[in-house]
Amino acid sequence: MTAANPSANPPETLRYAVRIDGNAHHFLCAPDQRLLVAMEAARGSDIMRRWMATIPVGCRRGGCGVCRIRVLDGDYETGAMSADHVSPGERADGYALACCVYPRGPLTVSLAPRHPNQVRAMERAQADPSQQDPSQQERAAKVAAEAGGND
Amino acid sequence: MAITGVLRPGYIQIRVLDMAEAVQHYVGYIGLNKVSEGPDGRVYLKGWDEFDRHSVILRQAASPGMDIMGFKVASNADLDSFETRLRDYGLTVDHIEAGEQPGLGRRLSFTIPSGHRIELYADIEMSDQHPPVHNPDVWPELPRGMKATRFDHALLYGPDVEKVQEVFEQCLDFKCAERVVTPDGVLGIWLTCSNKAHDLALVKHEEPGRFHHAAFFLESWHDVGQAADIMTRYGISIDVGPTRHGITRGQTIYFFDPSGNRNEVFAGGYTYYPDNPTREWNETQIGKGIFYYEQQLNERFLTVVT
Repeated sequence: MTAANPSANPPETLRYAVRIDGNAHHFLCAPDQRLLVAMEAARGSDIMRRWMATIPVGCRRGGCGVCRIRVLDGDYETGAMSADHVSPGERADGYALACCVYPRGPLTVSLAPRHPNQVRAMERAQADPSQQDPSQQERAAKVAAEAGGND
Repeated sequence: MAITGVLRPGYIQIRVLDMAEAVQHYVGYIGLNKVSEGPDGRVYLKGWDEFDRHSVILRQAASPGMDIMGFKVASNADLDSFETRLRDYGLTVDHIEAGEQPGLGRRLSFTIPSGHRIELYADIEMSDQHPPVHNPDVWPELPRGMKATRFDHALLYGPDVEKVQEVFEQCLDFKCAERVVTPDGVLGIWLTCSNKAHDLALVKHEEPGRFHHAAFFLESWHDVGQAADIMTRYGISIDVGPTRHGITRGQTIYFFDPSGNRNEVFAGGYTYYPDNPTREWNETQIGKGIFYYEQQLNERFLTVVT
């Protein structure tokens, strides 16, 4: 099973802490695991519910761009991803799609959405307090401000 | 009424980031057959139940998405007549000479108001691996993976959906089998040139030329379930399903190829006749229209495209 699908059951001993900027907590990601998929797995196991600012999940394969992030600190490698969403220059500046990031050590990342629909979704969430708890509102405000700066 | 003029979706050319991974996905898992690899690196594929030489073309590129979708027409005289009608409507029609794709005749190529490149052609070689025609067995070789029988349709995202409907109805004799109309206008259209509930669908989207999915036909609801098993077993990224559409009534699962292009495998769907009225959904029931069991749209389906 692990040969065909190594991301499914990564060994406990080979995982690095990944922190999404603004959260007090982290999740674990193996070197051969997509950062975004590790985040989904952590969410699926319920440890992230309520407190974790999460990265939006789209195609999980480097095409759609909704999981665009910037790595603020730490070593990593990337797989093939759409040049429409991360140019070579941006890649050198630490931008990446979270679904194509494989950690080589502990990482700290921030959301860096540029996908227009995703930016709008963040703004909608910010405008509708009933949809969000206070920590997520702060996150949405921060992300919307940063997204505006990237355009 | 016999099917005349535009017969069916013929091919789709999809951009992929890694050719080896794409071939494993479309051939190994979805179950298309590899036909050939061109000198420019493009890889040609077909479903086991298709007679024509190829129906899916993969091209390696820096960003995923759809290059072109081609429709087969009944004759070269039809090509000439469609060219006149498209020009009279005001579209620019380009000619692509025979042989740009192996085994394919001359093509008309034009951009529709949503920003997508659409082509028409009349001639394509018959496949060496076509379904049997003499005392025919049910299939030529044991189908593989998800056992997709054919490339069936595509859903494209872009602006000016009403104008796209006009082009396909006025110039190419398509019919609108179903559509979604909200207070903001037409949200989506499901167009057919045949007895199928859809051969091409479009959903309104700000950015032009975006690709939502290419769909492959399966024989049964049970095959959709087995396709889902294959996806989880082999780590294929699943989008939504297995579920059912209210629109077209197809039984479906959506997933992504290794470059993030969305695929669908589906079964069922009703038989459409050209005298049928257009079925219409409004904003109060659109969730049920798209996902009949969940009864609600999800943001990923509405916004994630390549």
